[in-house]
Amino acid sequence: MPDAASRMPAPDIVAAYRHRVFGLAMRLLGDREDAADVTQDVLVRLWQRGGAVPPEQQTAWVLTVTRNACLDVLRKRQTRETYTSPAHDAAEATSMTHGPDVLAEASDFRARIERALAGLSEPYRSIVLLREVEDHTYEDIATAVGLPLNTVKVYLHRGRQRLRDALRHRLPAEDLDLV
Amino acid sequence: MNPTCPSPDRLDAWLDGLLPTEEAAIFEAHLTTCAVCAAEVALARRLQTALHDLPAEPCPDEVYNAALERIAALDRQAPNRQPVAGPRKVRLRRAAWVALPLALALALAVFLWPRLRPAPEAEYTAAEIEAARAEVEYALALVSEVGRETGVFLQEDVLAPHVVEPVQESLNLKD
Repeated sequence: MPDAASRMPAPDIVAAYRHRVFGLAMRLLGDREDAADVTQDVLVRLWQRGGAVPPEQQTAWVLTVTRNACLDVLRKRQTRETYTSPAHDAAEATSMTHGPDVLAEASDFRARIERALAGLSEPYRSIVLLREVEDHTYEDIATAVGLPLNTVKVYLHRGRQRLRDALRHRLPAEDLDLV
Repeated sequence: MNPTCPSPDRLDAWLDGLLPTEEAAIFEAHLTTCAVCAAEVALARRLQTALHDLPAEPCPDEVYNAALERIAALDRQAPNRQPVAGPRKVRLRRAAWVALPLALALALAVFLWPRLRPAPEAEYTAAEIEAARAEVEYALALVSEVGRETGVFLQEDVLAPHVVEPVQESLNLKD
């Protein structure tokens, strides 16, 4: 535990990571309430322990703690057997945020991607999310998921491949000629 | 895909700009003649762009403010030494999984030993009996302490039917 002098002032360090933590929790959990709970816990832990983590490792530390907290929530959900698809919730949250008028073709493709993403098992989902959506470095991702760097690269490739397979079956053939 | 097509991992490497120049040129030439690979690249690109453009959910102010309130409360409780309640619980719970079985095994061993290997009392000195008693007390104290810290308690009605009696039965010691 760092002493008060070595800690960044609470609002600064918490503010620096609040959106990243909530964003990742939201994507992994697909539920605002659960994401809010996880975010609060992670931000408090960040304040308590973040000062003891070297600055260059802070992002990886935050990702690790956030992902682990989310996986705990997902495990509890499965234990309670009340698990609902994060993709469904995420799509619902998106539609609630943006309103039905925005749910045009692009949003439809996005919803399909979110469903496909939610269908990935761990650690593929976290790796794809952290790399493709959130643009983190391979090194930070390797730390966050607790896997060697080369394994992360292999899993990323497999995750992408699985997403493409899932979307290929869901997309009309003409959609593939867009690029 | 055809047998002559590059493997999917080469496609990803090409998309990431990680293919050596020569291999990248061969791959790009292949794309001009292979509709299957061209379609796969189109899908991969579209997917990559769409993933990158997925809207991020900003952290609501109420969540941020709630976290700050919890931090302020912790700071008021111990301004110079912050509590580590969450992680400490985790450590204690992990310790409980190790300490509880060890303590139970020790207590059972001391409890059952005279019945398994009855021996004349003369073989035990007063010091040995005292040491055994101290070990039992230590084991029970450890169980109690871990239970107090973690909230995991072993009740008599659990201990007797699920631990002591099965062992006694398996060893033909009951009654």
